[in-house]
Amino acid sequence: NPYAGLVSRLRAAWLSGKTRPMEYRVAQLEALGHFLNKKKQDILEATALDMGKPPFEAEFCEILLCNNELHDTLNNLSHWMKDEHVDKNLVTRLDSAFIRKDPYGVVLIIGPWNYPINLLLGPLIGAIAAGNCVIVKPSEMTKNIERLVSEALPSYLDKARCSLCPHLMDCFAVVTAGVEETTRLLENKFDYIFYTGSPSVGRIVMTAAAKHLTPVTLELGGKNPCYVSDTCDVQNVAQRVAWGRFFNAGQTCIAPDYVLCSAEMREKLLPALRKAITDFYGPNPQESPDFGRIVGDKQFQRVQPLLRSGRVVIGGQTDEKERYIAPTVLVDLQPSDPIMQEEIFGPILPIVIVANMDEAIDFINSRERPLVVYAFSSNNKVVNQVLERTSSGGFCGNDTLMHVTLTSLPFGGIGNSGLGMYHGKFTFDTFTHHRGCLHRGMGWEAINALRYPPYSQKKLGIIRAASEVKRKGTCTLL
Amino acid sequence: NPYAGLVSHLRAAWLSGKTRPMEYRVAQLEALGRFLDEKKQDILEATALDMGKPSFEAYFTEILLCKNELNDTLNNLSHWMKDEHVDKNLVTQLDSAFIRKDPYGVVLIIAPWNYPIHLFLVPLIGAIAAGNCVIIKPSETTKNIERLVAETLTCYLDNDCFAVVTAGVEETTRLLENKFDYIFFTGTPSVGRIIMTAAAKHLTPVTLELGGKNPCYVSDTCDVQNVARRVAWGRFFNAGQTCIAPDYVLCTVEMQEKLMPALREAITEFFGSNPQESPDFGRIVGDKQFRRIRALLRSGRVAIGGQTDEKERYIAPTVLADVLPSDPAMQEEIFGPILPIVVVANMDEAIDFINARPRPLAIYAFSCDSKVVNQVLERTSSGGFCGNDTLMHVTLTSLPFGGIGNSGLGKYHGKFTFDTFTHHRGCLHRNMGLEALNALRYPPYSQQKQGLLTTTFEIKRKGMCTLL
Repeated sequence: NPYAGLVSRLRAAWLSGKTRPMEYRVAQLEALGHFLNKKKQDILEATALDMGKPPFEAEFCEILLCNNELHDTLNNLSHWMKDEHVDKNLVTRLDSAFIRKDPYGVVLIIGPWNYPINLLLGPLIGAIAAGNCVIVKPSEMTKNIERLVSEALPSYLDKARCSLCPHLMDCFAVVTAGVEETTRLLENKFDYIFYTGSPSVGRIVMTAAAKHLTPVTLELGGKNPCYVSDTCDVQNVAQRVAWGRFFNAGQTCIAPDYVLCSAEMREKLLPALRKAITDFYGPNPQESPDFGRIVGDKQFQRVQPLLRSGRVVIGGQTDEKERYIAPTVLVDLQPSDPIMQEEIFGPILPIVIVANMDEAIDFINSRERPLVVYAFSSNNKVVNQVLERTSSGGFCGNDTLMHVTLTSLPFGGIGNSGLGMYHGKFTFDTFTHHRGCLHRGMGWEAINALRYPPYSQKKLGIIRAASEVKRKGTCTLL
Repeated sequence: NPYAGLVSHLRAAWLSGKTRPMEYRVAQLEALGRFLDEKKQDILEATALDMGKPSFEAYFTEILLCKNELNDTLNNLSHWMKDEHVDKNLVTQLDSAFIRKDPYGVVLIIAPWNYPIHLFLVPLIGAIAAGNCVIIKPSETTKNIERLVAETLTCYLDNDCFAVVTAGVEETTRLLENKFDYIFFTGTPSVGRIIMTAAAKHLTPVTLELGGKNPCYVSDTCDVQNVARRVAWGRFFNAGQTCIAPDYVLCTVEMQEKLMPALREAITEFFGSNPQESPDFGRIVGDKQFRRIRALLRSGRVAIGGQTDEKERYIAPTVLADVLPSDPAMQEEIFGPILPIVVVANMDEAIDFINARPRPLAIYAFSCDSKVVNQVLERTSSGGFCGNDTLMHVTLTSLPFGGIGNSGLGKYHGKFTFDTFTHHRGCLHRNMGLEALNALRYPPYSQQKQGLLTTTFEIKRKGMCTLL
């Protein structure tokens, strides 16, 4: 077990209580802020190298959104950490009853490659805030970011004690690992595992976690449907959908994966999408500095054949050397087409025809529950119907992606798209064990006498009166 | 797959939306209330038959505590169900941002035998309140209760959306092959692993309420008689078959000397000079469990009790002194009326002893000195904690109840049960117009757009201004 030593080092650090004081956690979090600040240029360059990520997009997702999570956490940490005192009943009136926020211990965060800093740091912020020791495993797909994180991050977090292992620290560690090493890493017992990636690997992670009864959060994926009703501002819809689909060259877990609309709406949507794409990227998107590339050859070879579904009406060009796939819109799709069998995770938007909203809802409900459902309509009732009659991780009406930029909304999947939720306080809560605590007096034994044997009807009557919760509002006097 | 038909029947009911309206959920919950009222006598009789449960105890845990959860839920359901509107940033000021409380769908509740009504009914209350369809699998160990639940519960609930499955180990394994949208399991850590592994195949979220050895530290400064009563009550309630029972005591050799006569007195107060004749002391649920627990008596030295009667599955309220960490009673959760006392030098040694072992469902600490209680709380990790008493922390519906590490994952009781069976769906409903606001984020990108975007999206660090 090659990681046993590392895990036990972190466990010893955790048992020492080092990560518990608020001052310690604040110091680590502020250090993360310095990392984002000082290494901003390096991060932008690395993501550009790894996947042609436009610096604007990288700055927004990898820096700004992470700083938001950091500041939200630092602004509220002392409040979140406090014992939460709770309502008491008659019996416990004189006692102290509260929820203590305990860390789990040693947690593992496995990050994906598409937003390689954001999806590693977002959970890390909450894990540190909650008082845990953390092993982070960045994606091996984005080699420049992986190197940056493993070389630079350790120097910002809790300083190294072991002179033999310059990359290892007491309470935090970065592990670089491919599939096989990650499997070995997962043999160890962690106190929490936070995984972002595909459903198939999610199953493997949860199965490994089950051996140790380790709680998990799995942020997975799926095909996020995007219903466009007949009553909408077509140009606005086209812009918002195109933005969500082609951001990061489509490699976004919450991107609109496919559109559902009527044949009439499709006719209006196509020229509007064509205009939006041209407005965004110019007549030849391959020359635009604002459009990304596919992260690797394997993924390029997976996405490219999906173009053979239906009929290309916009885009469709590819360049294997650059791993470029043009912003593309497909029509005339069958549910059985290849592109409708898997999460696209690329800059291709299929449009599937449905007769009406009911058919769209049935289409959505007959498939795996996605990370997000999108619905566009000027009619609020339509948006609310789609929300009401479907099930998904999250939901956004009349826009794409935006719901995850609010730290006050929980972000997570359901069914195949994942389990658990985070962002803002939800991340802190994810990595916190909510410990129910009651602190009673040593005296006052007369009150307890009612519950002791020998039992009697009289005692039972008094206990019931003292501890029962009555049903409210059944009195007609109200 | 013998249960495929049942599961798809419930799934169809769920997709029909039947369980969504509040009126429907309230009707089902009120029906559960009538079940508890009308079947009260049957429940008391069945638990007496199944495990000699004293009717006082059965009334308290199987009826009263369940009604509390029911009423707490009915009193608050409309509030819990509502969309929770959340803080917005500059960009989303004009939008609607809220958390929608969605059911998971078809959920499975697997219950144990020690509190056989309570431990399926309380999760069931939350599952129904949250709008799910539910399959309940009561324990096959308590046969009378199992029959009662299978035959009568379905008369109270809507059979399209709720079902009771009676199953042993093999059938339960087949049941778990199906895809559920949530699984709630109460039982042992070893079966918990099996459940979670089965759930992983379908990415099904789980709550596992498991067990462990709950340590009970008794400091040198305490009211010895009060401590003895409270510890004895927690240990011998339900003949020790309680997941949150104090499993063993940690104290100094001096405290052991004082505690022993106090425990002897408490036991005599509670159960008389011959507990086997007391109507207020339970029995072990089955022969297999009886033999398992009896073997644990060979630990340390029997200071109080120690008598057994295999025919009645009676084990006397027993206290073992001078127990060693290597003794049989210290290798597994006792789940019987035996209280080992392990001697430690001081509080620090007690804390180290606790921390060297799997994290338990509860930790108990007794001391007149609040600092001592707080130290034990601070320096250990457990599902829950109670200072200066046992068991009581789980009677408050406002406290979350659940384990950590080997003692489980997830939590429930009160609103926490509703939340367990609810998917918190982050929702944003924006305007179809006002496109100018969005233009900042679209390509072609520019430094100017970047600057403006930052201003509208950023969250600033507070408290940095010295003016405050």
